[in-house]
Amino acid sequence: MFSWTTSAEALLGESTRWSAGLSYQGLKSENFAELIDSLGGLGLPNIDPYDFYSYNLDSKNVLIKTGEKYRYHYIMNAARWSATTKMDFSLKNSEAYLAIQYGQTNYQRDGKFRHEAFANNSKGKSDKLRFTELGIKAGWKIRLQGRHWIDFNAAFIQQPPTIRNSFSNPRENNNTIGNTVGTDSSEEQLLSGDLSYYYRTPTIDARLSGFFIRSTDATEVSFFFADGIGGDTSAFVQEILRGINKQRLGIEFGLEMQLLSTLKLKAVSSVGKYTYSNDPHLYLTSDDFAQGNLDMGPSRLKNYRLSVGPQQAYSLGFEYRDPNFWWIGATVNGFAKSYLDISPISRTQNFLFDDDGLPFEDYDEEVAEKLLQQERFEDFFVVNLVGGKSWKLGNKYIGFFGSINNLLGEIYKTGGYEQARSSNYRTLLQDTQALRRRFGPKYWYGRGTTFFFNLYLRF
Amino acid sequence: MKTLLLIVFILISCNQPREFDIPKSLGNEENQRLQSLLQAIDQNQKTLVGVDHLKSLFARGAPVEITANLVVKAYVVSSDEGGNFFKEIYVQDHPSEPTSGMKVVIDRRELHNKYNFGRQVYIDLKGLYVGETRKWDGVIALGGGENKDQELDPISEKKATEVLLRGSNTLVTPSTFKLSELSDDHIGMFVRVEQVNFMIDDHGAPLVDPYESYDSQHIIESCEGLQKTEFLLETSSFADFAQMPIPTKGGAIQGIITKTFNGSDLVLVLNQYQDLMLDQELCSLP
Repeated sequence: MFSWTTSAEALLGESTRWSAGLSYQGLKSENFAELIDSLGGLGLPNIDPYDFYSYNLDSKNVLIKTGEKYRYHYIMNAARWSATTKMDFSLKNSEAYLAIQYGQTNYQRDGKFRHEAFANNSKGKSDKLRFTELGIKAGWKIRLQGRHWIDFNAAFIQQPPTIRNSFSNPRENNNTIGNTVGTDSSEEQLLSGDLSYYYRTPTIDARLSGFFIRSTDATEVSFFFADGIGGDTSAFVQEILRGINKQRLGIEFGLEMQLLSTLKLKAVSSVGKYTYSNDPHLYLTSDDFAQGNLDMGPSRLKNYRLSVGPQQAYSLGFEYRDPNFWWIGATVNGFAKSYLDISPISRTQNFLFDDDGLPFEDYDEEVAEKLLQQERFEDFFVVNLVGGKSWKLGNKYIGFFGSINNLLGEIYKTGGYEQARSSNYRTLLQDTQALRRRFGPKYWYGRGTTFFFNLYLRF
Repeated sequence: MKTLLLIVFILISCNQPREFDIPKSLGNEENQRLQSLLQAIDQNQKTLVGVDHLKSLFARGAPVEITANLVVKAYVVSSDEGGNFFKEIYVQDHPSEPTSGMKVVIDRRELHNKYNFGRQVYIDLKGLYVGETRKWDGVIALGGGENKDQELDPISEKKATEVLLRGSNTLVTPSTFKLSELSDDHIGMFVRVEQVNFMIDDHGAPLVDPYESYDSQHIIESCEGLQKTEFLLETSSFADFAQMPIPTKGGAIQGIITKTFNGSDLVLVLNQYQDLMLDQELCSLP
């Protein structure tokens, strides 16, 4: 990894400031698996134990010894440069800025193993992918009168996909998304805007904002073992989801009130709706498919929620500062509308196809609706306490502060995803009807009660 | 400040649950395998024959392998959804007013999930066998092989996927017969008999004797002219409705005509309990 940045700044007249920057990043990452212990054996054949493909045809019958590379080996080269320019304007009763960024990113894979399933397309360099980055941001902050401010920001950003979302299966071959499905990953476009209103007095500090972010044309690549492709096929697949659009809308409110000189009240809320806003196109690739890849058509994701944590959050708290150099604060935080990440493959038409391409005779739309209902996690409350005290010893200060997070030990889910394995109606129904689901969702949980204590000496 | 809070609450109330679409059948799905089979028929690589022709290949004694490039079109008229059939379907040559029916044995459970009642099927016959699943039982069947007792083996599930191809769904209407008219010619067909009832001694008893391991037969009778005609209704102990009571009234019954396990008698077999439509007077001779 190599990185270089430079910047310049100039004042153009009294009210205008100009700044510019240039940056370059180069990345070379080597990816491989390595045998760390042959467990007393002679070594390991470099062969896929499931379908018996040789991982590297160039050394087909050579046993892998401890410390040698195994399974996959490739180098990913990435380079990015960008130039930024920004103008800041200070006017009477208002401030504004305009920033523009332009850049280029390219990725190239360099395979070191010749995979048997992709003998002509795994060793050596892949096509070089080039992406253009563009960003335009502008904002305007206006002082209406005295204590009232309005702040408005808008941005259009075009950003390259990640390396992971540009190659369909870098462990095995040089295929870019474009080699696989016809058109390469394109840059994702973001359009965002927010409008805030501020009200400030010596005792009240309040803010109300509304925002939206619309992102279009994103690509996501994921890997999993699927049961129920084309009715009854099971395969390890790479899933390519093209043209994903997302929308985030929200409103935020914050208030701090100095009730007494020692007591401050804080209230914050954020209410949002973050959803998929279209039905992106889904493709599968696998070395198990004779035809290389399958076009699964659109995945019906529109209006499903994004799994990005709670979409509603509320917090109410106070802070008390005693004149005798101790303080204590507490907040009660409520969180709602967190959702499980859904599996796109089970939202394609493949969900209802039997092995002959006709719908499952027993496909029941009511049951399907229940199976495909997105899980919403239970709402939860977290209570946090924080406090401290300090003493003055001569011209030094000694003190401590501590905090207790999740005082009540609330158990809550912070995220999770549906396993994609049971990918059609019949396999999913079978899985959900079992006494205990074999391929049920995976969850992440928040921490229980945590304690933090800090002692300090300041001089 | 009050107006600000109000705005927040309005937004919350606008958040309605669920507005997602589920994958739905578009009604235009095509069975690619069937399309290529139909094309092969069009190009005279394969010949479409009737169920009667297929049955004519049967020879008593041992199953016969079909070596010609034949295809048969038929309609499924049995259903294992109620558990009264097991690893078999009955097919007939037309959805209504059929002229010929037969049994097809497949090594797969829950066949109704694919080869459902009313489903049009095309069977690519080359390599399959015509015979009896139990020697001398008199029920001509289509299977996938022959066992050492010269009986018919079922078509494997995987093979069925390749040769037993689904077409569209159709509406099957049974033809009505008198009990005395029913013969071996009707085996495999979905029929309706009217003005029939069970014997008074059986009324209220379960369709299958709880101590019976396999099948139970009960006599149904109808008044034809000056005498009564009898026929057997057979129910499997594995049927969901095996313990349902035998209705005390008369009326119509619809089901499949086949034979008992050893082939001794013709029997009528129900797809579902609802096919006993008995809500009228019992039959009585004048």
